[in-house]
Amino acid sequence: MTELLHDTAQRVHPTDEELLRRVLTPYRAKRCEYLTSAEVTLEGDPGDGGRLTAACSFYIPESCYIDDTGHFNSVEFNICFNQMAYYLMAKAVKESLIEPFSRWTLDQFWQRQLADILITDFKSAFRSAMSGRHFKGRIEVVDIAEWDANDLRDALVMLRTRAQYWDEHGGESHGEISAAITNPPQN
Amino acid sequence: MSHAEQHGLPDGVRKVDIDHLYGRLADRGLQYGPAFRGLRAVWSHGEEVYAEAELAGANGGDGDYHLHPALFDAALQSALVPGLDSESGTFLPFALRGVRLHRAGARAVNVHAVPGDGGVSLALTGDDGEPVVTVGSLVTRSVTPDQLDAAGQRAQLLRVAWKPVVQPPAAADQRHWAFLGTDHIGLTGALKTIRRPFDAYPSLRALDAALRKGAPAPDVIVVSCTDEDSPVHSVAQRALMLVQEWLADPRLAASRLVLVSSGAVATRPQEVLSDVPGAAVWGLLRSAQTEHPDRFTLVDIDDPGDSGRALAAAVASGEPQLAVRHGALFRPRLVRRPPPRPATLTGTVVLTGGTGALGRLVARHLVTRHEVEHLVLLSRRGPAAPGAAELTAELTALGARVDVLACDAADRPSLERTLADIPAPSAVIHTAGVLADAVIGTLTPRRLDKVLTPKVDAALHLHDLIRDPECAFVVFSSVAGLVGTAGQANYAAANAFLDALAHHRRTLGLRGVSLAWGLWESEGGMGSELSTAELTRIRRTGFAPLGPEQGLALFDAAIAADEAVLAPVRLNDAGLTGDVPPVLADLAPARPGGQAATDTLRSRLADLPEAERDAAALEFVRAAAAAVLGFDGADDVDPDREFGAVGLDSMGNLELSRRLSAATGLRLSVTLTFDHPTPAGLASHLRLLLQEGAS
Repeated sequence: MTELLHDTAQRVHPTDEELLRRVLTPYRAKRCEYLTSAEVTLEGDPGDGGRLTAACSFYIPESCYIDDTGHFNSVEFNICFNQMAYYLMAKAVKESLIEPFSRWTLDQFWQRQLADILITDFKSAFRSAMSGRHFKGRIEVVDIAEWDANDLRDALVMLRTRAQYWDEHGGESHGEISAAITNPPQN
Repeated sequence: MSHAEQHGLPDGVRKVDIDHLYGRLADRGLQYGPAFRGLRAVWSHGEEVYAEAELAGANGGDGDYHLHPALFDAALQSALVPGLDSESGTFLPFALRGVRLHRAGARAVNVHAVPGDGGVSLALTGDDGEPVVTVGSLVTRSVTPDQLDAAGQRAQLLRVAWKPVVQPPAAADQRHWAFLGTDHIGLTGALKTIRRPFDAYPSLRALDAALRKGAPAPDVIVVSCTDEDSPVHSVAQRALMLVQEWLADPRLAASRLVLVSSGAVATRPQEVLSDVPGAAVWGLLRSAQTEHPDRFTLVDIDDPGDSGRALAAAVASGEPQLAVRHGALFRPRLVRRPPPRPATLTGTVVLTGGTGALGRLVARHLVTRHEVEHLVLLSRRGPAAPGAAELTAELTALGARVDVLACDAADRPSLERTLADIPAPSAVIHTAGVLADAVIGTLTPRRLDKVLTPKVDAALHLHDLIRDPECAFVVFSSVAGLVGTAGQANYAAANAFLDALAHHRRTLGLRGVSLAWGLWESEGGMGSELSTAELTRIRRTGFAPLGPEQGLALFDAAIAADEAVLAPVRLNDAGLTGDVPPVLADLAPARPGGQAATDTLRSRLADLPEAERDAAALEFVRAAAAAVLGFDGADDVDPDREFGAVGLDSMGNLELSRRLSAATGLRLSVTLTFDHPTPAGLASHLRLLLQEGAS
């Protein structure tokens, strides 16, 4: 369902529960489905100065890989980022929000979700520790570069993103993450 | 009591109205600002002039100067009064002799100017009648408004000249070479022919795998950029990808990437461009070279299969951009070009980007200064574009028929339909373009296409659709494509392509000229979003923004020239003396103390039979003038065009006089080129002087 806000030409997409469940499927067996809601907003075209963002909520009942450290750490930062990014891309495919995702089918996305989406650059900063199990997050697509295949390199989609997390106790962390999508569908 | 009586002026003096005086001077192109309007009263008495001059309020006169320049200038202005109503042009102070300062720090003077045989003598006195300054003789010379314009604004036409590069000795290069990617043009065969060992990697993945296994990074990696089957967007994107991969991989930090094309640049007018899209790679890489010096080399080769030795020499030379022609190396240099006599456009003219800032300026110019009767202004929004209605009304009131049409020239069917509905144009002017600046490391295919589409795609469609050999085809390009402006690799790519397309049309027997503009001052134009810092950066590269009048005058000159690519620019000479891109290296102003050898003309003439001496003297003068003007060679100097009309200013006159004095052993007048304003006339004069000396 899409809600058009008149003044800002924003398109806001509330959490798509069914899609969220499907995106988090690979995390279910490991019991680390942290992303609980994601509201996607498209404003203009990220390839041309616009913004695609997702405002997210998280809940980490217990860490999936370590005893309770008492704070949000970089591994969890990364897992939460992946979940936000996967959901945002899936929603962009489903709703035809931006190129190149608007040309893909959801089946094509599911086939590539794990094997073909790779983080190529990851910077994170932890300004003040987040202690709560409940917190908020936000991902923004800063730029999308769609590279054609040629003799020198296979086709590639590069995403530059910014991510931020915060909780109600003043905890905050943020980062800049680039991801590559190899083997993009040639639709 | 009258002023005349007050100053003891002779009977019969005639008062000259000051406002009239400065008005007349302004009419003739001499605009004096408030600080230089120092004349307070002027009287003429036959050819003699009496005047009162003082410094305008804010100008200091005490202590800072022996004689304030504005006060002295005002005194000199009085000497121009007798010539004001002359038909022979505006007179300007040209040479001063016998200047003596008698008293320092004057704020006001009385002036008495008396013409004599050798010029005008001037006496500047104080209120007490005591001398302040005396001038033995002031020589004035007439100048035309065009000469004033050329001298004051340094706006001019440049063209690219490919100049020979001395080949370094063979076998000196022991570096490790590799070839990357698909060899579309036979470069690997050429390297094998000269027994140059090299590794071959079919893709970046293969190169990466080898480096991971411990292979040393090659010193030189050659990649072919000419692929006849690839459109311009693809070849430009491939080059951009390659540049980004190169810059991002620290293992390749010491490796030089050599991008080789064939037929992507033209070194001579009739050269066939077999790879017009490859020109975009050149533009893009020029910006990459500016941003990241010493990482990339561009080489264009006429016969790739036989190019091994030349390619090795090109790499060994260290030059960033080279063309190989018949085994010899050439590098591009911008040189000044003498402005041709302007041409006039008539009939129907189609203008893309017709409602943009630059388009509006040109449209108005075509109606007011040319004889264009029908303007077809294309823009994506057409009549809905801001200001379109006002522009139409204005141009219609000026007597033109105006059609503002909504047409995206990059959309082939739309353009085809639009052109089918209008009369056959006498000229098409493609001014459309957008900027999407980014440093090359962050440029994306999208931002590349955003700039390429309105410029390149539209130009290609126009090229396909305009096949009338009489129709002028003018594309607005940018000097960014020749210089390789930092942060504008996409823009440089698009404009280098336009330059190549104009050349390509000419080799097909069609008309075509690409105007590689420097920055315009116009509000709302392509330069309007630049910050002060960016403008300063551009000035530092040797350019200054063009004023609308300067730009349009250069437009008139450029469309009359028989050349494919001309850069109408305003040079900032001060900026040219710094660390400029190599293509500008030959434009730095000629410095006194150059290489003019003593008595060369005299000895050269002595070795020739009498019948050949006139021609040799003329050739010598033309070559000396070309050197001073920054032209490519003597051929660029028309024997019968006045020096002033091709840009020789007073500094240039002094330099030319100095060179010719050294070459002849003669003492030549400082007014040399004013007394003998054409190369032919000056050569005859020199011959006469040398003959007199010999007898």
